[in-house]
Amino acid sequence: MESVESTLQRYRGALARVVSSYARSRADREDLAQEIRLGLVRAWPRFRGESSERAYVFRVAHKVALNYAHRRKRGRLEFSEPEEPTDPRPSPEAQLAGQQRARQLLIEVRELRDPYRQVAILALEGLEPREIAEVLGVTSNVASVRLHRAKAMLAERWKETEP
Amino acid sequence: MTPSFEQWRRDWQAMEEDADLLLAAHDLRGGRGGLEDPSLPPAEIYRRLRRVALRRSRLELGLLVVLLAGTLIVIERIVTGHLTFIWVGPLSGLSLSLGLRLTESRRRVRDLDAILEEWQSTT
Repeated sequence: MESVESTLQRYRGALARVVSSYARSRADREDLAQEIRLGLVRAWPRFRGESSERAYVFRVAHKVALNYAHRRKRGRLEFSEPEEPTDPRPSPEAQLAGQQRARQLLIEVRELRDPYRQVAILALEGLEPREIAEVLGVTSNVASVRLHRAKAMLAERWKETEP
Repeated sequence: MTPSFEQWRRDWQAMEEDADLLLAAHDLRGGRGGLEDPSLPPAEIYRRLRRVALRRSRLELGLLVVLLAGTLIVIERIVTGHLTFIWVGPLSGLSLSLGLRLTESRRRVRDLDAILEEWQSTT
């Protein structure tokens, strides 16, 4: 079995996007990233290959992220600084437009309720409904229905915020 | 116009979030011998993370003690009629939140201890 460190390395981009979908400020993102890292290190010996590695990594990451988000909601207090804007690097127009769409999408995804946020993130990462079902421990039907609703909600929010 | 989900998916996956967040706490990152150094053994990474978590939990404990002392003083001032009850709410809310943070930090230190122990027992 591959080491957890190399797995973390491979999924670091996707995991960073999970982190950003659940935590806004830099300090909170760092906190959550560490929690996910620790969660994966602890859970890794229990991975028996019943599901795909990708599904397992996302399952652990989402579980940790949800717990974290709920604890934050309970605590209420934000010591962290407010969300900082991403530093836009010089890029061609099309790339910039793509980045802006992605930032807007991230904002909309954060606003979704947990069950829909989860499926939206997983689908955006390229998981099929069958894999999403594996990650969330629900049937493929439930995953498909939630995904359908999540897409509709995102499209609706997008229309509302469009200039 | 609303982009298609496929378009969203491409934009999403091209989004470069700060992937280094997963590497370490901010004050440990970067440079040779820092946590981005690929030659750094994993056990050392967790030892450093533990040090940071421990420092943070001590800081939070210190703040909590100061806050509780402040709360006691405020209560005393309320009892003697120098302050109104309105001060109790924010102070107790702040103490509660700080207490929750402290619990989280302590849990993280315990998790890191467990990881390091496992590491030692397998190597």
